[in-house]
Amino acid sequence: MIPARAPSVSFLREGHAMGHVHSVFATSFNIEFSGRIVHVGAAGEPFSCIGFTLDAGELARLLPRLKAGYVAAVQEGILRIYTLDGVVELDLNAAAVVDCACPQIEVEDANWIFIQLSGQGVAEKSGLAGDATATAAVTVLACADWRGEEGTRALDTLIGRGPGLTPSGDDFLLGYALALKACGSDDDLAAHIVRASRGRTTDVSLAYIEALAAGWVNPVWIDLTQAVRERRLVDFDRCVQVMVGIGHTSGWDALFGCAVGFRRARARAFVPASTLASSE
Amino acid sequence: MMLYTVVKQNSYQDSINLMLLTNQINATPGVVRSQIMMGTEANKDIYNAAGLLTPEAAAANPSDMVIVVEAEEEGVVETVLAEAESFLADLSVKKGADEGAGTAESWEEAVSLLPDANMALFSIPGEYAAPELERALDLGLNVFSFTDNVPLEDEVRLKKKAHEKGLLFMGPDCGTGVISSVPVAFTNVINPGNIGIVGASGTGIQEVTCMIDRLGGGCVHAIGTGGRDLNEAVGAVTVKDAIAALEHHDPTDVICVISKPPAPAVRDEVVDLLARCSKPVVAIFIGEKPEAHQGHVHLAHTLEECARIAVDLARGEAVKKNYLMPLDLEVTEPLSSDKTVIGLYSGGTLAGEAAMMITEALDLGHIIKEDGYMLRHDGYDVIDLGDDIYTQGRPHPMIDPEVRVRMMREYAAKPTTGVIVFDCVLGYGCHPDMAAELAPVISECIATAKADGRDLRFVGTVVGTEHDPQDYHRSVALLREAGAVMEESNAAAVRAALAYKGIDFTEADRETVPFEPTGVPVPAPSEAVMELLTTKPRVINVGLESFNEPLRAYGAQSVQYSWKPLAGGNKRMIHLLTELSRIEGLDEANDRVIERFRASQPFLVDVKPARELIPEINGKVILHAGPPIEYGHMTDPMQGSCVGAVLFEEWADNEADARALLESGEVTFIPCHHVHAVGPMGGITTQSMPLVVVENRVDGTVGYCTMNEGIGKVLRFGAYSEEVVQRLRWMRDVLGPVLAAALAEKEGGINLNVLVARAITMGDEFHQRNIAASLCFLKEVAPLITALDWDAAEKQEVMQFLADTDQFFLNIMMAMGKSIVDYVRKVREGSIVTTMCRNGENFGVRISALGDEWFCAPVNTPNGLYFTGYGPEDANPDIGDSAITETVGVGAMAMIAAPGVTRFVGAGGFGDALATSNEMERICVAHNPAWTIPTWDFKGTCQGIDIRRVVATGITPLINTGIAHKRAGVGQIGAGTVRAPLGCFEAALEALCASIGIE
Repeated sequence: MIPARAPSVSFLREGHAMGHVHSVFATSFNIEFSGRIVHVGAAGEPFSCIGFTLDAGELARLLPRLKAGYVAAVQEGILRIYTLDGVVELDLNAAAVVDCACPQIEVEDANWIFIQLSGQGVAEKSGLAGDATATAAVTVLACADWRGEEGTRALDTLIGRGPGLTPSGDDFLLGYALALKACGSDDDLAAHIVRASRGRTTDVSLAYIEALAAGWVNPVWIDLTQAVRERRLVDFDRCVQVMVGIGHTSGWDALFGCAVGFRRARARAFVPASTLASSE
Repeated sequence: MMLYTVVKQNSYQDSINLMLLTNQINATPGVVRSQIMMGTEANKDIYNAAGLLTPEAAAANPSDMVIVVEAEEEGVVETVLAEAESFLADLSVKKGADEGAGTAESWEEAVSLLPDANMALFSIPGEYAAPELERALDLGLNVFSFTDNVPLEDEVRLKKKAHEKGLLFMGPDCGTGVISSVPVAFTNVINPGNIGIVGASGTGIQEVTCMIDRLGGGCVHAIGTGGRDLNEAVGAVTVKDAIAALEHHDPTDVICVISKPPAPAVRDEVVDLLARCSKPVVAIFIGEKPEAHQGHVHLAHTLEECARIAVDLARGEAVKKNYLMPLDLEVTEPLSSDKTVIGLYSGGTLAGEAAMMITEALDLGHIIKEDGYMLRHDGYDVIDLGDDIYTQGRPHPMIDPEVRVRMMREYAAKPTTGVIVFDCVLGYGCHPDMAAELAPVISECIATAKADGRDLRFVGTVVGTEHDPQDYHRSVALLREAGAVMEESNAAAVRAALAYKGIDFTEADRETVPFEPTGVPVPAPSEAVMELLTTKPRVINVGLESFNEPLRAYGAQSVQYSWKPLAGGNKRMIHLLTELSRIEGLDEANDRVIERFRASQPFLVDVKPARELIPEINGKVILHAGPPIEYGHMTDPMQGSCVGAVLFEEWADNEADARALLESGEVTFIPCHHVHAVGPMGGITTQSMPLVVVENRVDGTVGYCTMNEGIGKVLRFGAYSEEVVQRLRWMRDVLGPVLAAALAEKEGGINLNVLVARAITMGDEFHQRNIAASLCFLKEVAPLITALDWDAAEKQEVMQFLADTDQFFLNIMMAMGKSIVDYVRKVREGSIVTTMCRNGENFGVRISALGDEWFCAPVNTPNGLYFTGYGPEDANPDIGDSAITETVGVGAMAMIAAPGVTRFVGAGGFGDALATSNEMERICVAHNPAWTIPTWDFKGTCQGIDIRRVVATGITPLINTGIAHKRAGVGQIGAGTVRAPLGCFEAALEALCASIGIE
């Protein structure tokens, strides 16, 4: 059964597409349709804005049968994965749609988040810690506009930087762009990162930044911003714990980027627009 | 030379073990000859006859083991003793490797091993295939026939039957297929996916599926239909059924049909059906150059194009107008005009495609199919090396590169050869590394041509995927390194070859023209076909064992049916058996025959002189064993027995007169079997001889037999000395009357069913081994005899005789068997054997449906162990009515009850005994629940030898038997086993068929 799906996979309910199993992990797998990654995870685990969930038991039984390269075909919401020991059929039509829209927050909330995240030592726990070049790029992005020469160079430095399914640099940039977008500024940043990332990073990393460019985020961010608005520190901390449980350092990287992004957003908010225009 | 004797007191050993030991000792250096037996009186006769009865041996007791050795030196005795100790200490037989489990020898066994089988995969010779294919359909199995050379009329009939039964008939000559992602027969491992293939050809399917795999698509099913399915007579039965099935198979999104050149009307029917499908479809009719797609039926020109269209359809993308992909190859200087293109292919369809493309490009007319040539024009040759002309008596070129290598060298040496195009096919069943075989030859040919100042090119394609057992990428690399230009498809390879000739193969853009189908909905497939396509197949594999490998590797279940042609390939017998299998009621008739066997209740009731029982025997009449025979044709021992009988009856008082009487014609000879009697060995019975009387209580049917004389020099083995005659007189005057009197005291007689049931659990098989039954009999009669008011000395003699005669029960068993079969024979129906007997010249069989009619064939000579001083050259041919024991399911049929008896032939042990009983089980229709055998997991003895099974399997009944010397007067020289001759059963089958109108 498919309990829930993200809005970004609505394309699977329209027409006909053929893809492949992209990658298989211990608790999830990805399917690729003409360059678009769809993540399949277990219900009850953190939801991904680029995919859908399966009942945990069903997923656990399915994963050993999968191999990267297996054909997947979808027609009007019925997804079939063709394995050597049979065809797996998944019906997306009845799945509940999960809200993944990028939240909006006020500057004072952004400030609050920044203080909380700084207090959690996100910089030191990020995968970029100790990377002097990356740290310098981060500093630029904290202080300067990304559109400037220094800013674009800084972005360039961080794209695809670091190992892993989603490199630390990408995760930082995802958090950074998410923060700016949530504060209502720089809608173009995510799209710019998408264009710059093609051919330079992993498919999965690219998929998340593409989702952000389309306005989608993992729902845990929505929960986090809601906790911030209501100043529920316990819930805030819980959301942080959920995020840092993802990957090796992905969560810390994204939170680091987020903190820097909120700092940048806060700084811009206290600078007159005319000054901004002249300095950027 | 001296005789040395060792007597081991109270050291009982089984006689068979001692015979084996004797053989071993006789082979010991220093031993001239030896004999090792128990010290019974009868055995002492044998010692004496061999000149080995030493005083010590003569003095031995029956429970003593007597070893007599003839040697030059006394020291040999010690060696002999040591060997004997060693032998007797370890009587266990070294076992060979176990045979695998899960192998069937018949359809019945195969179905019992895999009751939910849904497919039969055939790779058996075509000349025998049709009845087996039909049998599979009758069992409700879908058929995949790799087997070819099935007559067209059989294919038409079988496919019609399959269709009516809702089954899929894939083949004949179906070389490759994929069912539910399981590779079947010679095939590649393809990624599963949403393209369903229906293919009439082997390499056509392989080329398309491999390309689909490389393009990122996949197939769950590639249903082979055989090469003639689109023939007008066959009418595309399987293609249509397969299309309908894939139309209704949800995971299939695209249907792809690959066909050899079809009959035009059939082609149009197929296109019409495809047009009615709701799913996107693509088809290729090889040899046809489509000008346009017909409605939503996309038509391809080459196999590569077919694959590309299928993948685009699977992706939901629009079909392109043109699929000709640019070649990587750039030819700056084409070959000169005298150079030609040669195609040397292992795949017929690939050869056909190459021939088609070259013919079109050079405007050479049309392709041919002659002696393996698909094209033969002006030096342009394209050859299918898989054609029958190249594969007579040799493996297919996908397995054996020899012919192709030779032809590569031949063509490469020709000055006019410019390009050689070839295929290298991978997959299950193919050569494990064909590329490595071809690569050095290619290098060599190129180098040789270069040395001659000639430009020779090789262009090829590897038909395979990354998942195949062979290494696809390595195969391509090897051939490339050897100097071949390797292309991704056969079509591309041919285009590259033409490019070397300066010819640019083009394809016109293809538009779509409207097409109106008939509007009749695509028929719904049967449940059985949909079940096949939605589950992993459960397969009965009939033929090549290697076909199990891919089945099991990819999740199918399979059981191996080690098929052999029925009746050893005898076409006449196959015809009769096949026709007989269509007759209803024969199995039910046999069931009734078996019921009569089972209903029988034999009781030993009396002992009487023959004249009081058999009216025909009064006067100068001699009953004999076996089917009818004249005195002049009898072997010497049987004649010797006649002489003894004449002397016993006092019809003559010396041998010469007795023989003269016998030769005069004054004596009438009648088979024992004709008068409710049976007789062991010669079976010679005359009026004064006492016979045991067994009455079958079910209706009073009787069976008679002479009593067992013991062993050594006895009448039944042809001896006729005074001693023999005296013994016969004693049996007439003492043994018979005492037993008769004793039995008279036993109300109702002795229940023999019970006695046999008891003794079979004690190790008897009732032909060669009766010791337990004889003891049980003694247990019954001893108290009766003891209580008789009779001369004590005579009672003692009788008791002693019974105690000494281990085989006494044999004759009772024989009479019992006779009382059973003569009851069974009263109703004439069924194909069950009711009589088996031998007269030294012929083996005679009678069957339940045909009453008294004899079916005879020359007897065989037994194989066995011989007493010292005798060998096979001394043996008399098979003789005796004692095969009545096997007829009712004991004797050799129940060898497992007495495993030691197998050691008569070779050094067999429990395994051989089990194998024998299991073998005999295959020619019988039932088991006797009353006579269960503990060593056979308490299965009952075999019951009801069916002549159909005997002829079908070629397994004839095995008989345990004593071996007489071929000269009268010598007596028994050994014991062993003998096979009934097949001819009797074939003759019976002929007659049975004739009786019910089968010609």
